[in-house]
Amino acid sequence: MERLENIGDWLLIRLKNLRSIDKFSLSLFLIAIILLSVFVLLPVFSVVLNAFIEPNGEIGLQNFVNLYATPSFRRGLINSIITASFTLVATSAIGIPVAYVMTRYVFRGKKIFTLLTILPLMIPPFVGALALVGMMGRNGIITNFLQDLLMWLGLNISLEGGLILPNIPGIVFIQTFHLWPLIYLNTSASLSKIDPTLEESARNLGSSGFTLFRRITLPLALPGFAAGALLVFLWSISDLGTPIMLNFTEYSVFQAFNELTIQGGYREMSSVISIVLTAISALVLLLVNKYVGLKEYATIRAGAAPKSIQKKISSKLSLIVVFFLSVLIIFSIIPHLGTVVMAFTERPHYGEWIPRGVTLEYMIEALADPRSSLSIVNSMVYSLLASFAGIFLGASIAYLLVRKKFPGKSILDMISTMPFAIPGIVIGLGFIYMFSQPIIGNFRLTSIWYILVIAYSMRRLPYTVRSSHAVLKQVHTSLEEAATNLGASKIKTFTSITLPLIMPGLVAGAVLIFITSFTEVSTSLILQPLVGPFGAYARPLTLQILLLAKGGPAAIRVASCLGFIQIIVTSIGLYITNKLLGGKAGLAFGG
Amino acid sequence: MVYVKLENLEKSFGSIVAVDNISLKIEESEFFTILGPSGCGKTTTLRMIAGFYKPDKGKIYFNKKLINRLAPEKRNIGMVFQNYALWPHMNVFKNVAFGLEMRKIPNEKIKSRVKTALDLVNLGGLGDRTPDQLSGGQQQRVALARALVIEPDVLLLDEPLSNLDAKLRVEMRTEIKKLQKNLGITTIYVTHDQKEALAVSDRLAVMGNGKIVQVGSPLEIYTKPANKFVASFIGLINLFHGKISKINKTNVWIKTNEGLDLVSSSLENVREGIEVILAVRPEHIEVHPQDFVSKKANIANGIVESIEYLGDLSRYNVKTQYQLINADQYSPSVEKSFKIGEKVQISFEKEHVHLIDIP
Repeated sequence: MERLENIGDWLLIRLKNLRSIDKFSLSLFLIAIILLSVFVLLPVFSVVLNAFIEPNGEIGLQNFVNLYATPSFRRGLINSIITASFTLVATSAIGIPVAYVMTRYVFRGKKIFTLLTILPLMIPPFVGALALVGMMGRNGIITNFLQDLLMWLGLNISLEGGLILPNIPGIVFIQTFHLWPLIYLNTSASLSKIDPTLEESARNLGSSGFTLFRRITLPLALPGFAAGALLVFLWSISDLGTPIMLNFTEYSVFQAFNELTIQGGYREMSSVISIVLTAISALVLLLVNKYVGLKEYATIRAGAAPKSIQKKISSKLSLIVVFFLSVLIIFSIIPHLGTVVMAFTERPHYGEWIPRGVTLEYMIEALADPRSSLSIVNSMVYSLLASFAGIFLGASIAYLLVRKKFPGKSILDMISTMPFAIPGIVIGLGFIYMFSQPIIGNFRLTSIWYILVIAYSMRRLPYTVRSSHAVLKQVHTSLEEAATNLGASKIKTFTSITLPLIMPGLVAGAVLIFITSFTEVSTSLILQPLVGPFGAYARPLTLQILLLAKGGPAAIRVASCLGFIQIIVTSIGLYITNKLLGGKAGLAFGG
Repeated sequence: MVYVKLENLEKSFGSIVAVDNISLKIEESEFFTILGPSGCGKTTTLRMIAGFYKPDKGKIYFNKKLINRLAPEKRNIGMVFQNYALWPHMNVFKNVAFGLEMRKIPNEKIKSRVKTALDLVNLGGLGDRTPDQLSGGQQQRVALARALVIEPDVLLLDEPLSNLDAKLRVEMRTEIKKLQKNLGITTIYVTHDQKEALAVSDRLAVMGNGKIVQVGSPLEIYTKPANKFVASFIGLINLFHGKISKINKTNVWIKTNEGLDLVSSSLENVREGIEVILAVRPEHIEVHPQDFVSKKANIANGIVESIEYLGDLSRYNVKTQYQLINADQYSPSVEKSFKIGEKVQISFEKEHVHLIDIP
């Protein structure tokens, strides 16, 4: 009997909670749930479902068997996992020491390096790969330079095929020099938050040097490192731009993409591969969450961290540190330099490595072609709309999560963070399954450009929810109550207190969606073939760059010009975010 | 001037009753404190007066006006929050001016009134600073100025001193008290710090478990605690449980459960044979060498178990054959002091033995 009464109490409280949610919040909740269901849950569900539809139309595991039985698919999957693992190891090997040095030591030129370390993130990965191939690929300037150097040294080694090859090391190289700041930024965020007394007390008890680092410092910094590592792994395994640029076909994402877009491809195989990739991502996410804990899961945080220990180092040691950091930065900005060189210098003849002169020829060509110049405008419009939509939805969800108590809250929380672990190809594929059927006559939802806006905003939803969540949490309710108490109405309180306080966070979130959408590869490429009769003029920038990059040496130069514009826009966006978030923009950045 | 009347107020959160049927009247210009341990419902009561919580039952009046349904922004109450709630995106001037802007006061007037308010709390000239450039004490003053500048009918203070260090706390409470007396604003102050409550209040209410336990002046509350809860919550006190053995016109004799015979002169409601609790403050208990001939009514022998030296007094923990007894010796000196383990005699007057919790 007593138990029954308890259940009755529990139900009563539940019902009260449901009634206690006001109409405004309830409608926000319903809108959010409907949008998330239609544009995240159902597409993902349809991909899963289609993975089980066999070639003969029956439901079964045949597709998975085929995946396993086809050697190239099997290799693709193994290659993807190996690549992601190697990239993770390489980025960690660079990121952790840099994080330690940057948070713990004071040395000459440290300020400049703090700025420079964010450079790799400023280049859209797609463009970075393009430039690296141009510089270090076959007949690239760096390749030719090294070839001459080898000849001069009397070494008879041929670099004919280029330094970056369509294989695992090539992809790992490109990904590593793009992604290492994610490890660095997240780890150093954790490191700088460590209370100095925690290490001091370990010293006091007799621990020092590497033991101190291993037993105390590293475990404390682990949540930050894990967050960064997760970003890198998920980014790498779902990376479509790099394998396309290198034309490395034995890579799962690329294979899924090909099955979907190439004539005679088998769409269901694409679903199967995507599902397996998603499962791997989800598994890694769960494992990391279980064994490390992601309490600081790539948080965007404003405000000062507690003072940590910073040691001055000797000028000799400081020289070594500066030397290694410089080498790292030089490697990291090859893509930037490469883009500029390829966009603004004339092509050298075969085997030459000195550019033949500065030219605006390619830039003019890029701007003169309406498909190219419009693609810039298109991407700006799509991304801008996506960031408006995303921030509105993200802020509404964050508001409900932070301020309201209602049943179904944890479900909302879960669904809105889901896109984080879902590769872009799954969203793209799901949209095709869900929305490519004609609705009226010949009209399809996927045949108009705003399908891209929807895809972009859904894909980046976790970022906006998180950034809004962070700022909303900082606005203590008593700040609002103080205004109400002094005679401000609800609307006045919102406009003069709440909004100005959360604005920087909202704008930062919006800019982040803008940047990531502006450089988005997977959904841009997958959803494009369906973009209507004026398709060629509705292309997003990334698609136009890809098409040009596949069009021969002169077109690659034009592609670089578009890439250059992309870098400039991204840099401005990143600069704004950085200002608004107090130098922590990189933390929110990734895949 | 405004008086505040609470009638049978009740408020629950889920299955927890936070405020349980309380009634109070706070007089015009009175400095009234609600004192109680954390979770007793004092802040909930304050927030109902401010309008942030709607009472489940009961009525709140300002003078004769029922304000239950009045929105918080219409109540003309100044409130100082525990965390001050200064807006970080506005400077000191703008923080203080906000309430006046809401009241559509012309700009010129706002300027002069904000200046007056800032001068009042000794912050003249700091109007351009942002809250994060101020010390804790200064932030507290800004919060106070912001609440006072609107010339509120009632001032509510929600543990305003709890974030300050000990010395500043004492300074600020004196200052707040002085300001309140000068301005004559009806003030309700919520705190869990009994010393603070005794120091500033005209009257105070002690709350426990959502109920008002006792209302009175600080002196009344301290010297005549209504029950065991109030007695042990406010100050340190020695409690004896016992039975009344004899009564005459001037005295009551009690035998404690441990067997100690005590005499008291408090005769209210006493009957022979009933069980009572006796309360004696440590400052009323004297400590002497064991061979001392005391003229006081109540005497016991014991051994010093521990000593706390607090500067203005030494607090002796004396182990008698009956129970442990705290005794304070004022202006202690090296000559007069006792040592741990020393045999002593303690004694106290019958006037200082209070009978509480009389059934």
